[in-house]
Amino acid sequence: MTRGPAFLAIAVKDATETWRDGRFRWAAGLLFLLLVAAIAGGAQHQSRIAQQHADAQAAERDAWLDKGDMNPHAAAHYGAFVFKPVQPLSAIDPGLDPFLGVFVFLEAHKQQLARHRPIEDAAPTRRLGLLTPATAALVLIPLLVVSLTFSSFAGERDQGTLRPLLALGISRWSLLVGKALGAMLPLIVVMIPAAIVAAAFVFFNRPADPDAPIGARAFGLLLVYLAHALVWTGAGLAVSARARSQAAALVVLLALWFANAFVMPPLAMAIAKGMSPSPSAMQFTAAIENEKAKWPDWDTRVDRVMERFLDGEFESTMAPANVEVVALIESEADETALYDRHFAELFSAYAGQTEIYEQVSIVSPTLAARMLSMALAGTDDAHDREFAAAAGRYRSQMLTTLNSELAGSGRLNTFDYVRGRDLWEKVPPFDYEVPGAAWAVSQRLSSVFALAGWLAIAAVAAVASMSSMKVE
Amino acid sequence: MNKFLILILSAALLVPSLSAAHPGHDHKLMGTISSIDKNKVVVKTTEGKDMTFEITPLTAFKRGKQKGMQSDLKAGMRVVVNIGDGVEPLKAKEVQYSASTTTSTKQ
Repeated sequence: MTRGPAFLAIAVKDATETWRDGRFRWAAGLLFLLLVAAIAGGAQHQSRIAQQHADAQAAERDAWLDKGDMNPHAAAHYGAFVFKPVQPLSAIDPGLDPFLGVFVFLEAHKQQLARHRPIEDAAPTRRLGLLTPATAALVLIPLLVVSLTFSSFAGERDQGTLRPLLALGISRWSLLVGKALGAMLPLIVVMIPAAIVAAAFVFFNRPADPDAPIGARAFGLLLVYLAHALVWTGAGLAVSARARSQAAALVVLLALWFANAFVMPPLAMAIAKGMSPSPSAMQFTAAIENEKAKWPDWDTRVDRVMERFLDGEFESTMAPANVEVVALIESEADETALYDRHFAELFSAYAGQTEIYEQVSIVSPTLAARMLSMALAGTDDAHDREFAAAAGRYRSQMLTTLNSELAGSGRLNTFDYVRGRDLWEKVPPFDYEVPGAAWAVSQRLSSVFALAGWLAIAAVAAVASMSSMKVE
Repeated sequence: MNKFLILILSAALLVPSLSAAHPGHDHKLMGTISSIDKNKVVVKTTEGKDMTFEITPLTAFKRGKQKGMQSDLKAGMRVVVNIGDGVEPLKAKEVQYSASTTTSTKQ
């Protein structure tokens, strides 16, 4: 028997036997239905939220433009809401989105964290029954892989058919490839239709921004889920080759699956929070308020501007003649710098936690795949920080436009200076461009290397276990 | 309507109540005295505009932290003038100038 036909024959035989097994068909059918239900639910939810955000952003823009005539600095206090765009692929992996704020209120003197976490709006029952396509792909598919691979070699050995198989002249290499393909073929029967259904749902539920580039990100997601399934296939074959019986192989693989799916994520988060603690929302706010409390009050600030002028500052002229306006612009700059520093420290703590979380993925391929899945779906903390930074820049731009108008008005009584829609229109609508797939992956290189490493380890383990496998 | 949208719209409606910007302060302008004619003082502001204000019997003078006098005012001197509500014709409530510098050559 030649090598090609041998591994192909083994693959077809195993796949056919698996497919003929009613238990597999039930399990595969159920998994397929779960995947479709999760995708449909995710797409419908994502589409509804995206529409809400678009409606709210449009209403907010109208409110900004139609707020009537007022002082430019009063308009800065009036503020503006900016909304985080909902990513199309959040239908597949909502990631951290339910736990992160969806809009930021931008105003004078104060920079805010994003508010309103979607989980606050969710019915309690939703928390119990939340199944996302990403969870199905990263938790349930490995379980199916375990069921497909645990008996690959151990089952042949238990039934006494392994020695005769090798005695026929089939090389161990052919046996390994045949068994791997035999396990993957039934899996593909589930994954390909699920991927087609997912693509259709995502395509027909595109959010308000139809130009959102999702092709590369969607392809990346598919690669991550495929690589993760392959890691489990390699692990399943390796354990099956080494285990004394198929029962032992099943127990070991189920233990590995359980640890990866349910133990490692909270454990990694606990390690990350322990090693890189972040302040609570109250601590964060209190730290800023404590620092601001040490600043001079408004009258002192105005007095100091006067003193500096009388001591010879502002010699270049063209500074606003109104002392209060100078004090206002300076206090705004100080406040922006203060908030920027505290936000940078907070986000640095979050980034540190994510880094540790990623490092733990060295011992868990599912963690690495989960990080990459969130990154490609645009729902991880890096995307949240990028949005917060964009909102901060927009706030700065908005305040500069309004305060410059005040400063340049040439009016002594700037508090009675009133402007209208023509000035509000000078503040452009918030237009946040989500970074591309390459940026998303570049933020998660540790996870890329971890998953690639696991793929290599699983392949080497399968080959090594196969080479040293006992036939009886 | 969804709770989320209600929250946003409610917040948008509430915000205008916060829109009063630092009311109740007198206005103070910074400039250098160009000329003095009895009670009329012309100041070139930091923005380069000439502004005229009137000194009244109620006008207070402050030399640094100390009490000053109208006779201290000289052309070329940097002053900060409290012009109250800033309504024309401008009337000085207080004129403040440096204790150390009587005239400015920088501007």
